[in-house]
Amino acid sequence: MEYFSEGTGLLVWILALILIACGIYFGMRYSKMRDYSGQAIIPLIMIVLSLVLWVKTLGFPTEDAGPALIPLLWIFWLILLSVVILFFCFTGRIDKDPKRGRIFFLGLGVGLVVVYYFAMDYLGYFISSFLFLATAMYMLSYRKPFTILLVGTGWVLFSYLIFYKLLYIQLPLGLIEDFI
Amino acid sequence: MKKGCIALLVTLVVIVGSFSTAIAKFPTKPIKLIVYTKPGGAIDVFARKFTTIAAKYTDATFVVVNKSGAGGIVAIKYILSEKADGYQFAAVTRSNVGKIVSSGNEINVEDLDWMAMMVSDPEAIITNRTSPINTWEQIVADAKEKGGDQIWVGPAAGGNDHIMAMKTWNAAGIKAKWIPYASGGKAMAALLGGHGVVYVGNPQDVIGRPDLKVAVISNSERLGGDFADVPTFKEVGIEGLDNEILWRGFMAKKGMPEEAKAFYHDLFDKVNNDAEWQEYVQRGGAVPLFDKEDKFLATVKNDQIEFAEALKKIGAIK
Amino acid sequence: MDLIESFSIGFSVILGWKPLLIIVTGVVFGILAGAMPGLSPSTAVALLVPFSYTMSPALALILLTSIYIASNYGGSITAVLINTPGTPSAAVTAMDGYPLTQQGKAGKGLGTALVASTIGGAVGVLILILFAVPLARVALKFSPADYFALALFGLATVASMSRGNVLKSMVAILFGLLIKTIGIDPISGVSRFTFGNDMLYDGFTLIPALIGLFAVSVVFSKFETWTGVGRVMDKIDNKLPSLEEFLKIKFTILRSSIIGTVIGIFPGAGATIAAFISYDMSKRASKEPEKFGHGSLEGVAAAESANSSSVGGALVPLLALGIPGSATDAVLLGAFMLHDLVPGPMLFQNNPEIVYGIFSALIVANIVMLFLGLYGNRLFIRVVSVPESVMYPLILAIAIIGSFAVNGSMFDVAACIGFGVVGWFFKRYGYPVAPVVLGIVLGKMVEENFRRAVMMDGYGVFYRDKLAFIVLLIAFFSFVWPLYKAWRYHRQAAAAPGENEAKI
Repeated sequence: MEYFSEGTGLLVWILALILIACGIYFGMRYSKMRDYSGQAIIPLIMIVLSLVLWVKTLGFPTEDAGPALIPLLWIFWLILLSVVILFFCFTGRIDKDPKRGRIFFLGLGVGLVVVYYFAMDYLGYFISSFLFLATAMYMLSYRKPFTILLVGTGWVLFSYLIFYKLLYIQLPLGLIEDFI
Repeated sequence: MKKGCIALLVTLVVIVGSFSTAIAKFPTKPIKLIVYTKPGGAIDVFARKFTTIAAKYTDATFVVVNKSGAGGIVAIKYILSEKADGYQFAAVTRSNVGKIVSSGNEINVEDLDWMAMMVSDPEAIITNRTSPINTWEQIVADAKEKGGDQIWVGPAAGGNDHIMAMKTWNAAGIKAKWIPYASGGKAMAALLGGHGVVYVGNPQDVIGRPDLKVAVISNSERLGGDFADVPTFKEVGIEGLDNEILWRGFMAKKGMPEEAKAFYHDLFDKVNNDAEWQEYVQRGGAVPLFDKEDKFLATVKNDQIEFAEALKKIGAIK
Repeated sequence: MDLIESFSIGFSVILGWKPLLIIVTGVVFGILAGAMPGLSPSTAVALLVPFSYTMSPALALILLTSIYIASNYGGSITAVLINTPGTPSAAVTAMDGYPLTQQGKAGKGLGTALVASTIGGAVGVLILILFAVPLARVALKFSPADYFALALFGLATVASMSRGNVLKSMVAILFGLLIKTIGIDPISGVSRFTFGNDMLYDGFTLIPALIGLFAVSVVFSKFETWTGVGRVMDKIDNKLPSLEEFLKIKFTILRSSIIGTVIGIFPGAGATIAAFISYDMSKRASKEPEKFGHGSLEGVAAAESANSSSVGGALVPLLALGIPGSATDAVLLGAFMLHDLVPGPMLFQNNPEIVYGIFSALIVANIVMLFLGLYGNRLFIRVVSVPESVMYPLILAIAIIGSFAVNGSMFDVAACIGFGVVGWFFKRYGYPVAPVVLGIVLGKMVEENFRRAVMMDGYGVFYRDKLAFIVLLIAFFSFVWPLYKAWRYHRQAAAAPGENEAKI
């Protein structure tokens, strides 16, 4: 078992767990349990997380009341309860999945935040924040260019004066590093 | 012709002169002093004290920048990621070396310029004055009676103070249990509450806390001031624990320009000899000390070996 | 030196335009910083430590303690208005405060939070002034086993946060507890679950996780249900709660203030745990427990009076013994040291003007906070009338700068976004997120004290230590009782024919 707690073994272990979890999920989606397949996602993620952390505890020093004790306790209960919830999903004794919303639109929103995160390193905090705010407002169908400009500039000024100047928080400067 | 010669000479002198001052001119912009804790941490106080005293001797502006995280690893990696132009240096303590070791020695200490070790805090065995066990003799007697169940408290396992405790047990031939707390303050609370017998720390921990008492100190001679009647290990008959310290100092990325180096050496020298600085250091029960470059690096390397041994012993690293 | 004489010294320090100006500045900064997610009390105080360095010691500490007390209130403003707790402890306030705003009763939420904070703050300071030394001595007597029992009691409050959904709440709290074990184990020094990444050595920072779970997740949920038109909330009512409404919750405020102070005294417990426990107790004691979680004024009052009163409590070990009881205390200790002062019994003797100056300033700061808050609420409430399509991008921007401000680390920003996704998943499938915060807050306290107790005295200690044993029993029953009630309810529902089939 210890083979799976380091290096390639760990990778194999994680991949196998994710594959099994996906298998269960898609199995449910294309069976008559499809209304409960979404409810199975969280318990499945919890079980995968627990098992990944469990295999790591095998490498901990073994001693009385040692570093593995409490994580193992949480892992045990988390797996147990997740299995119970999964069981309820299989037998349909749980709330049905909520209606599917605009997942693509949400993906766009999350993607924008992630792009913002990476842009901070290159463009610096101030430029990327302005761009992010403007794009996000546009995405949410806000169409008053003047207000968009005002909110963006206002935020950049606020964060520069309060966070950068007054509180001396070292916001990433990126491109404008040499000008400030 | 003669006039021309003189004029040429004058211009030359002026050019060379301005050139050489251009080289020697450091710093031309504010210098960042990186601190590995949040504002208000012990090392933060130390760094800010240094900048106020340094202001007596230089017009340079110092800006204290807090880069906290992973016991100093974040700050050290930040230093290593910046240019070695002398415009950033960092406050370090011995516990950072412990973190370098426990994080897998990814950081090579040779990549850093260990500029100056400025202060040494002797390790101290601290007891609760109101408890019946508060002198060294009483600790030893109690430890023998309890046969390994005596409780010592202190900050995290594998740190400076834990290593000091293990060395002390070895040297005195006693056994005890180390119960770590999240911070020195919480461990002191445990000692005050009677949940442990001994706290391992530094003399400054007892200042302003009249119920705490330094039982023994790890220094070759007695300290002055409030600590004049605290015995050293040698005095209580323990050999080999005369110089267990928690040092504090400054380092930067290796390879800064000569003029920056000269600036810092000069500044550290002056601050070290400053009366207010010495008073500040000694009031905290510490000893001003001045080790530079190679000697500092040698200490660091020695500490690395010691931490590695101790961390292996308690199973924190493989 | 008697109390009156001490206070005449104390007030002589703070009377004068300069100290009063500093108190007002501290309160204003504290409220705004508290309202800003990311600038928790400890960060807010830490950020101003360098400023205070140039002031006289008394003024410096007056500034910092004013910030401390005001920021605990400030957190409630954004929690009530936009479901974004500005401070960790305001996560509890958001559970009832935000529903109030959704019902168009933002004024009542903000007003209750303000009055409860003021009274709580005053009670905490009063207890601090009168009983600091004896209380600190009692708190010291608590052994690791007792702390463990107290922490478990805190965990048991999860039962009152689950709206008939015990299993899902338990999964949420276990998730919080489990991710809290990531990082260096302080007991053994072993690094756990860091996968070689040194950003994980300190584990996940609470504040970014909190902002992600509460604020970012809400925005993501809004994205999913976005209809293409940004709405503006139609009716905002800035009416304050009526006097009758206040009189109805007076005992809740008083009880929560005392709970908050007492819990604040224990080093390591702090404002968030105080808020969770007093919320739980108030729900149990309430005549209308079913309203909790759906905009109960009692719920808001319980959380806010407890977290504000915990400030007074947390200052007890710091001033009486020089032992920092909270993260903010640790920063204050550093501020004392910067001015060559050491808090503790000697400070009362050598520098009474500082100790009593702080006490007097805390009293005045509470009054200033009440007036500024009453005025400020009318401004803050306008936030609700910002169009949604402007508000959500701004919330994301605030979340990101707030997560960055905690440690100046981009890793925290990434963690905040990640927790935002987790929070969205949780909300979508009916898992509450507050238990995750509770798990993160209590994880270390449960684990460290359990292992410390076992290392000191073996497993038998939890039964030999009478206090720990009693608290553990109470924790057990307070946990099992709601479970039993839920089970009985389900059985009846299952027995009764109809659509009400037993569902978890």
